[in-house]
Order: sequence, then C-alpha cells, then structure tokens
Amino acid sequence: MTTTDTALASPPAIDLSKPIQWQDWWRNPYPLYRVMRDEAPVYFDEQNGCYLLTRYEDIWNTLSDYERFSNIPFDLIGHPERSLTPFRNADPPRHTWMRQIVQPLFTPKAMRALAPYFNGLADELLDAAEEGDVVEVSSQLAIPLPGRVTCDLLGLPKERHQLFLDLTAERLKLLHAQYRGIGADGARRFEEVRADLWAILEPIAAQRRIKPENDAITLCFQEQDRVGRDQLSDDLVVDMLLALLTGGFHTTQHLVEMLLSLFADRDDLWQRLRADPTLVAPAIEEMLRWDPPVQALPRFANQAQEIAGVKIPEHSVLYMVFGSANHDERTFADPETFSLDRKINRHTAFAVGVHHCPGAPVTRFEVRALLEKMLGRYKRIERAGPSARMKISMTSVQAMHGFEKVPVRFIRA
Amino acid sequence: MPKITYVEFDGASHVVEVPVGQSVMQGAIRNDVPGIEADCGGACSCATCHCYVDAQWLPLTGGPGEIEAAMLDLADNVHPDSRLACQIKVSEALDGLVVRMPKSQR
Repeated sequence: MTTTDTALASPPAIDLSKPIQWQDWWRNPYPLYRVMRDEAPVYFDEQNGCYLLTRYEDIWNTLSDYERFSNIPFDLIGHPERSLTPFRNADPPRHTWMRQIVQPLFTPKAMRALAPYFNGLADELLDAAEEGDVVEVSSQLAIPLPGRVTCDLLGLPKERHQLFLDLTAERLKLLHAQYRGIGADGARRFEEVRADLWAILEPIAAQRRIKPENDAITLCFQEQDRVGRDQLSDDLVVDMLLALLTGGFHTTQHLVEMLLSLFADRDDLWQRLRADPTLVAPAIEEMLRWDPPVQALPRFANQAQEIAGVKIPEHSVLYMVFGSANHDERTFADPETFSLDRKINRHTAFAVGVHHCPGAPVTRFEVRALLEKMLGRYKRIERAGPSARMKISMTSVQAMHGFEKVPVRFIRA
Repeated sequence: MPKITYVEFDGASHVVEVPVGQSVMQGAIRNDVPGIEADCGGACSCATCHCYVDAQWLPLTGGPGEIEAAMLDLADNVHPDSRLACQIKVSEALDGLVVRMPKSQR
C-alpha cells in the first residue's frame, strides 16, 4: 500500500481456526482477506456472531437478491421509524419509493449540468489550500469538498453548512448509541438535536414551497405534499436528508485522501495523468477498487440458505466485504496492483443491486473536477510527512478505510 | 444458444452466446464486454447499462417498462431506440440481436 503501510510488508501469521485479531489489520486488511477468500470464503466470525463473505461472485449474487437478503435489521422489522438510515435500512417497495424521490438529483446527466459548479468549487478550495506551504489534504480539501457539495445538493444556504454538518454528526452518534442500547452520558438528548435540525430546515422548506429549487429539500417536501405527512413525516424527511449527507460525505473524503496520498508516493501515476487527463476517471475507479472507503456492509438473511457450501441459518447477519471482493483474483487480474489500464473495472465500492449508491455519480464528478483542476496547476505532489490512517477501534471487520492526515506540497507547473 | 452482438462506441464489435433467460446485460458482463457498466447489477436503479437496439430488432425487444423508462429519463443521450440492457431478457427469438453502447455510461 502506501509508504506508511509498508511496515506491514510481513503481515501477522493468519490461522483462521483461531479468532481473528482484528486490531492487527486496520491499516492493511488485504492479506487477511486473501486467506479468507481461499480458505473460508463464507467465514463465521464467532466473536461478532456474523458471517463474512469475501469472494466477488458470492457478494455480487447476495447483493442482487434483496428478497432473501434484506437490508432491514431484524429488530427493526415492523418499525421503519427506527431506521438508522432510511434508505439503507429499507427494502423495496418502500426503499424504491424513497430512492426515486431524490434520484433525479444525482444522475450523471444532472452532474454534467453542474460541471461549472464543480470546477468553481475545486478552484476555490485549491486557491485556499495553496496559501500555505504544506497542504493537509484531509482538512483542506477532502473534507470541505464533499461537505460543500452534499450541503448544496440538499439545498442548505452556505452559512448553515457547518452547523448542519455538526448536528448531523451529533445525531448520528446518538442514533448509533440508542440503537446499540448504549447510554450517552453527558450528551444532549435526541429530541434537542432533532429540534435544532428542524429549526434549520423548517424555514427553508417554507421557502421552497413558494419557490422550488433543484435540491433535495424541495423534492422531499414536494413528495410530502403529494402523499401526506402520514406517509412521509417531517422526521422521515430529516432522516432522508441526513442519510444523503452522511452517505456522500466521509466516503468521498476518504477517496480524495487516498488518491492524493497515493499520488504523493507515486509520481509515475501523476505524470501519466498529466500526459493523459482522460485517465482521471479510470484512476478514480481504480482507487475505489483498490482501497474502497466503505470496506463492508451487512445484509440480513430472511431464510435459511446455503452459500458456497456453507449453511446459513435464518436471521443471520452477513457482511459483504467489498474490500475483499475488489481484490478477488478470480475476478480481477493482478488485483494488488493499482493500474490505470483496466478497461473493465466492475468493483463493488458502491455496492451492487437495488442499494447501489445513488450518489455514486456525485462522488465521481466532484473528485474528477478536483483532480482535473490539480493536473492543470501542479507538476508534482510531494509528501510533506507521513499519511496517518484513520484508526478505528477494530473489534470486527472494518466498515471504513481512510486517512486522518495527508500532508503534502503541491508543486506548481 | 442465441448470439448477441455488442458494438462499442468506437465500433469494436463483440459477438457472444447468451443463454436464454439471461439478460442482455448479464451476457455482456459475463463475457467481459466493455461499454456496459451495470453498476447496480440488474436492479434497474443505475442506468449504466444503457444501449441502443438496432431498429430491426425493436419490434421483438419492445420498449422500456415503466420503471425502466423512469430510469432512462435520467440517462444521457437517450433516443427512441434506447433500452437498459438489464431489462432485455434473451430468448431464441433474439438470436442475432445487435445492441450499441453509448460513449459513456457514468
């Protein structure tokens, strides 16, 4: 992987008959995944009571079969109002309905129309980042870019962005604590955070009802007016908007961090992109394959079944390990190599099936705009210090991969 | 087994045999045909398997269904012969079908 990870060139020994020491693998889980694919492609993680699917084909087939592999956690069945995330924790037809409300905002066609916006935002962020000697990619580019884009697509005025992002993070933390039955001492109550969020949204909703805009707030409240509050409550609209925001934020952040960290180490890749900017899109796809920000997501077995010869009991939790699927040598030639020359790159970074990330085109276009602007400005990206991987407490397969700090210097062309 | 011809935007042509019952999209991805991305794997929720059906075959494939038409509304360069390949099921009657792919799906 990157220079910061080469210390793991000799990974710990892997014996799948013993419990996996997850904390050993947070920097670079790919050697572990390889052994799992070969020896136990449907691995039962006893410590966490779940199955881990690691082969591309098994994951593809499972994700394509929403009738047998649900997105609704068992304890939420019959309680859609308790969903952690209304899109992810729903199945068709309810999921299809919610998705269709906002999908028109996120298509490639809609994104192409926003090209001047993406280009302008990339220039603005790069102008600001260039003011110092060292650029800390994470805080100066990778966080502000999707932060701005997601808030703008929702329809929030700029002066409300930071407050809304902070409240979203606070609410998500509370929701997770509530879902896991963990008390959050000292934390504000759920209702207080929701009231603050609503205080931001309500006046905007009122404005959009008079003057509709091309944003998610307009689309959600138009749908509410159409179907009534019984079906689409204010709370559900808030949840949907927050799910869109969280879905597009840290995921894109980590993608940008990992791309620029790699280019700081691999000038050969940067020079190829400079010589041929049409390679920007393949570079983004390859990073999504090679080190996907979302490493794994769960599905819930509606009935007993068998995958790759392993019997899966009804009501099992199965994790789709995208990071492993994307390195499956049964599907990808030379999977450990970051290559700009893959003509076909059907990775699973955005999942597959009805839950395929609706915001994938947003990520692709905003990151493409940033890289294209950088290619025009910088002849080289130099490392100014080691990149720091985001450390998360690893008690099971990790959900997210990314950096916390990526210090570099941009060398002007 | 029915033969389907996939023509890339640059004219490169791929003839593959696709089992009856599979979709035209599945025929492409199982044979590594470039030009069809199929991000959602056939769930009719991404419009990245957009293709153009050659005129002579349109009466046999028919037009898009309701959800497919809604997805096509969101795609680029949609023409009257546009379909999503994941929604065209291969039958013996489609032996010889020719589909063309747009310049870009994403």
